[in-house]
Amino acid sequence: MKRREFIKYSAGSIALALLGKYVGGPVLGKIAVDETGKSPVKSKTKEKARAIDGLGTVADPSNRFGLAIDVGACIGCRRCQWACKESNNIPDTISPPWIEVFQLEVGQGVTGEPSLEDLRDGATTSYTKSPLAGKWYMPVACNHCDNPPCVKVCPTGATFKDKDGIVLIDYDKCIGCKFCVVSCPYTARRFNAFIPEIPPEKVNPMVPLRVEGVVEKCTFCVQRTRRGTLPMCVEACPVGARHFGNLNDPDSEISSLLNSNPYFQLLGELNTGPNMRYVTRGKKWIK
Amino acid sequence: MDQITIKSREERFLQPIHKQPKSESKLSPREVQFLRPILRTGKAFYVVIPALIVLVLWVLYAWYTQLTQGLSVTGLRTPVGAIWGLYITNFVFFVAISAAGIAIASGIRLFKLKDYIALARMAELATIFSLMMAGMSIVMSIGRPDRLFNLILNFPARLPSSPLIWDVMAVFVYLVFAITYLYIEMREDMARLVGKVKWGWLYKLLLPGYRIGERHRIEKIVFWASIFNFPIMFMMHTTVGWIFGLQVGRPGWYSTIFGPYFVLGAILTGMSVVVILAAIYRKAFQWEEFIRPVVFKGLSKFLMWMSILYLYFILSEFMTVTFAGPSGEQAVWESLTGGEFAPLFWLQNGALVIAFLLFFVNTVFKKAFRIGTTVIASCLVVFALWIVRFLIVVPSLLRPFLPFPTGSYNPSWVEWSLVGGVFAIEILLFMVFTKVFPIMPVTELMAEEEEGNHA
Repeated sequence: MKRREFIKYSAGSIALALLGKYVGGPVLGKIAVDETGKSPVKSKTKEKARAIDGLGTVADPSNRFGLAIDVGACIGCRRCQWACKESNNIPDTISPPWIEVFQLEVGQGVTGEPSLEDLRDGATTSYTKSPLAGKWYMPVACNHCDNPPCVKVCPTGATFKDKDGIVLIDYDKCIGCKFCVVSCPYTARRFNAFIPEIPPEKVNPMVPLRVEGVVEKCTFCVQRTRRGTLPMCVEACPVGARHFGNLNDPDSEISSLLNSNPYFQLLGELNTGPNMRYVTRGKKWIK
Repeated sequence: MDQITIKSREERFLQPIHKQPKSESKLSPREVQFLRPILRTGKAFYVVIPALIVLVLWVLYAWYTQLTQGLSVTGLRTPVGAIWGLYITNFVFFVAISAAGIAIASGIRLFKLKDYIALARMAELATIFSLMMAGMSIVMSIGRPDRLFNLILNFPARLPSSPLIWDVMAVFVYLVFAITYLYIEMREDMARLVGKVKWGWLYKLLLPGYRIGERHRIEKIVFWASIFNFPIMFMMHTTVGWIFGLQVGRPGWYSTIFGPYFVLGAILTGMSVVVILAAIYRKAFQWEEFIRPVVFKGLSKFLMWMSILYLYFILSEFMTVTFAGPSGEQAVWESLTGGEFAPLFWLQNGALVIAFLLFFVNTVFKKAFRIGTTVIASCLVVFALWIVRFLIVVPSLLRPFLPFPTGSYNPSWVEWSLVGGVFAIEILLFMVFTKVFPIMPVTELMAEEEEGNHA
């Protein structure tokens, strides 16, 4: 009988604990209510956002951010890459930047060499190498998928999809198992194998410093876009090939661009629901 | 009739601990044979143990290097190159070894396979130590081992969606189950040896609440545990397969075959490891009498079926991908069949085919049967299946969907050290256990023998 009682009580307490976890009620301790009197479940989102940009921005659920890239306009200068690296506190010693630019040849698909070496020389060097005649350029980064495989597989919940559609990573929660890296079809995620070192004068205070041993990727510059400014890659683009905006708003620039032009998404057949759109109106419109 | 024999056995072997005489001479000649590793220490022991300890110290140094400098000391890179490498290969490999142990032990006890009883405990140990080493490989592979506890903190929230969490759960459940199983079935042996061998004091510490006549209840527990073992085993190995099989992110992984493929691979690896273990123990402690050739014959037959089935799975995958596979999958298979991984791939297939042929000859031509060939074939299988795991993990990572450069994966000295070290630690654990605890299930073997005498 004793054994039976033991099983009964332990099963009961496990059930209670789980209940407490999901309901968030005062099952096992004091009621946790923050200053505003909201339930602790909601304040969790706040904490996450704070961990991401260090300033405590909160996702606005009425937004759904997306990025459209005009493939015909892109000249492959890699300024977006450089701006991203500079503004997101990515030191030279660390993994490559979050944006990658592929070189394509008309009629032959992708032929270009990737720009890893270019980047090591600095963006200005690669700028002089492009644009080449007869080549097209296609920048890729995190697609902030609607059905993100990386979020599904994360064993700790460190990576999550926020309410405005941005897929973010909590650098303090990530254990560096790299499952999300291998689950991403876009190879968008980077692992910080090296200990990040950045000179203090180059630090952007809006962005947390890079953490060693965790995974990171494009955040759609969450510290800027949630305050109404554009991501750094969009600001840095000299030809206006990048268009960032709210896909929910039918009057936004990105919506009108996508409504009036053909576009494609990368690997949409994998049911990831990518939020990067590649507009294909050719090169003719550029005079 | 049954009751009587059990009672008489009890009277003979299960005296209260404190009443047992404290001299080693009280061991019966049979028991002395079973307890050779505890009673005697050969020269080889004094050579191998220091060598292993030196290896383990080297591993600790390599691990220290990795912990202080991060994974930059390995060959793992993003986005170009592989981010999962030898550590994950080793993880999958060791999880696979763990299949056999408890499966064999449970099978022996459920179906009363008397000839195989001598293998039961070494098989269980293979499970326990391999699972420990699998866990260690995971800790080695992650970037922030200091945050490992996050896995447990977020367990309930992540359970619905993360295959890795399923796997963590499966490994934990299986490890706890295996240790409990081993402990419960070993109580009887420890009880009978208290006061008879030098480790008696340790056994006494490990036997709280021991009562005479416990054996009937333990037999019942072991029976039910043996039944429950099989679903746990399937769960375990299927979830490892699903780590890869449920991912669309890399070509070559997303596949329905991966669950069964991994279960079969695990059975094949585990059984082969048990064959090798049995042969080593048989040779080292002159146990030819207890581990008879019929054991190797039986395992050889079983492994013949398993290895041909595994080859069939490989063929099935090959056909599907080459005939109808999308371009991403084709690229991975090209790297296997004709690209940079071709030598490994064909070595693996060749080893598996040769192993199958050896098992086949052993089984079909009764006169040609040799224990040696069985062991060689098992070694080939273990070798081939380590490569299989490597070729599941790495080539897919070197062929991403987007046109990133192919890159290459060059494991660093740290990785090789840690991978080798995991094997060294496993062997060390085996040797220490053999020295301290009875590796043969003494009570069960003695009972078997008695029944044999009666019949």
